[in-house]
Amino acid sequence: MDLLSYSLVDLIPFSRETYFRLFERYNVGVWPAPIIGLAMGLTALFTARRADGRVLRIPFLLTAICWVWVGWVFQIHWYAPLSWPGIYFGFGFVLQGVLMAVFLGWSPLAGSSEGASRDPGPALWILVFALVLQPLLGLLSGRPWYGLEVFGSAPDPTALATLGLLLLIRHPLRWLLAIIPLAWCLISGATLWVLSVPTWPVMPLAAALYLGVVAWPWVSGRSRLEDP
Amino acid sequence: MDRSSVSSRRAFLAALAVAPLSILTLSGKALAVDGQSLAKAIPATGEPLPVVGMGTWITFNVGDDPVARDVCTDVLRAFFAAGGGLIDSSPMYGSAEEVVGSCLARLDRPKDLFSATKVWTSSSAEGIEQIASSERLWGLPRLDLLQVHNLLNWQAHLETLSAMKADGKVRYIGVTTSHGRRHAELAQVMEAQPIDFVQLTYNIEDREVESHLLPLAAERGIAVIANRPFQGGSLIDRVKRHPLPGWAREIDCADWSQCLLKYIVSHPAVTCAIPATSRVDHMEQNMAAARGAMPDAALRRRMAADFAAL
Repeated sequence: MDLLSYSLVDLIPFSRETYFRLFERYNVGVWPAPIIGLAMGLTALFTARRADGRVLRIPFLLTAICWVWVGWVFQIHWYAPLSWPGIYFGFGFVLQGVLMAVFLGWSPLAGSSEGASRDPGPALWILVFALVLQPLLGLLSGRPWYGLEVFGSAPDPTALATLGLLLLIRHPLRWLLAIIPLAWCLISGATLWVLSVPTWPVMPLAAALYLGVVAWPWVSGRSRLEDP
Repeated sequence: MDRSSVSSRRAFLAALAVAPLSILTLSGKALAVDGQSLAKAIPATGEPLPVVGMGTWITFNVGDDPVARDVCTDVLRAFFAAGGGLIDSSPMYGSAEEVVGSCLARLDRPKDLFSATKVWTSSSAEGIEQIASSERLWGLPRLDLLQVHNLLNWQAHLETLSAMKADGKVRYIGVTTSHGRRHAELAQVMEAQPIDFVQLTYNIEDREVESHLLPLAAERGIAVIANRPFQGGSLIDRVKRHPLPGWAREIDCADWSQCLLKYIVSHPAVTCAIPATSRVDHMEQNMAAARGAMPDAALRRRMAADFAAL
């Protein structure tokens, strides 16, 4: 396929109304999966750090399961019929879930205080935003509560919360595991921009925030002293 | 504007309106008049085709949504009630072909349908499967027009389509492009290949095709489908705050959309324009552009100049 001959608009062959209706129909169609996903997300939030500073495996495993669900069910079975790139997005999400499960869910790294970031603040703020505030942004666009995008069943909050989780660890693997969530932030922002959704900058800005937090020690010359 | 040319053409068309499906020659082009709706002849066969058709990009890609499918069915019902014929879609448009097929079934497959879709894959073998899939999705044993979408692997697909046409498995074949892409290659195809239709972007702002491709189509006897007549809605957004010019009344236009469509379909080389909409009232407005007086060459020049000045 001659992809270079297509513009961004060509890759989004649906209207804003159809996109919003997709989430309404999806949430109703897979009910109670959105509630289960949200519960998994809150569990991940509250178990992300122990009092002794260790990062637990549980949040990574729960989030990995959500990536596989969103990829297989939402992207491939619900989104792809509207837009052919959804197939590729779906496989990308499944891959992300597998990578997270393999590298963090079962790795000694996740359970070690050695691999934990010393300042969990930015990570926890991103997690709270992804789990609570971001879904509520949909209400500002006039969407009904049953059409909101929530962690675990919708791609945007799942990707954003994952970036938050990745800020909790210091291992170089976090760069590998951030590629797909960061790419999705750009794809989602571009999609919403084409659809003229006012909240389109949220995901790209979140990606920029993640990169800024990660890069800050290098920029400030403190990389040897501490790592966020 | 030469008022006499408008009024005489209006009288001419009105006189012919009493003779259903009359074929006439107007300014060197074959035109068909059915009541008050205008149709043009497909050069390859002389078959009349209503000058306002319907596109399905975005508007009919609604998936399984039953509410949206009801709306699409209403839009199609209004389209055929107003004398519409050609519906254009593509496998690239997500669920649009499936939705069109579903709506057509609910309308008992209107006899005036002229089905047009595309083959859109880089693989010639997949192209054959894709065409079979399109026939199944539309619910039709044979499609009227198959086009190579955006010139993708056109050499292989045109071989397939030509063989299908020879076997009577499709009535017309063609190629498409949009957004002004690959016009040089499109011209080569038009010059060398035995195609019946070409689809390209043409509207009151995107007029590059007037200089070469439209004259070439007329010379080669190729029907022209104009896509993006409103430039994806941006042309309407640009003009809607302005009052209609005085000449709009003279060519029986009640709104800007009709002015923009009449500019396109009044070009002698253009056979059909394919605006897309998801609203019944907009469909009715679009279809009204196929009725009444049409601008002549002088008025078309003035329309383009006035639009550019807005």
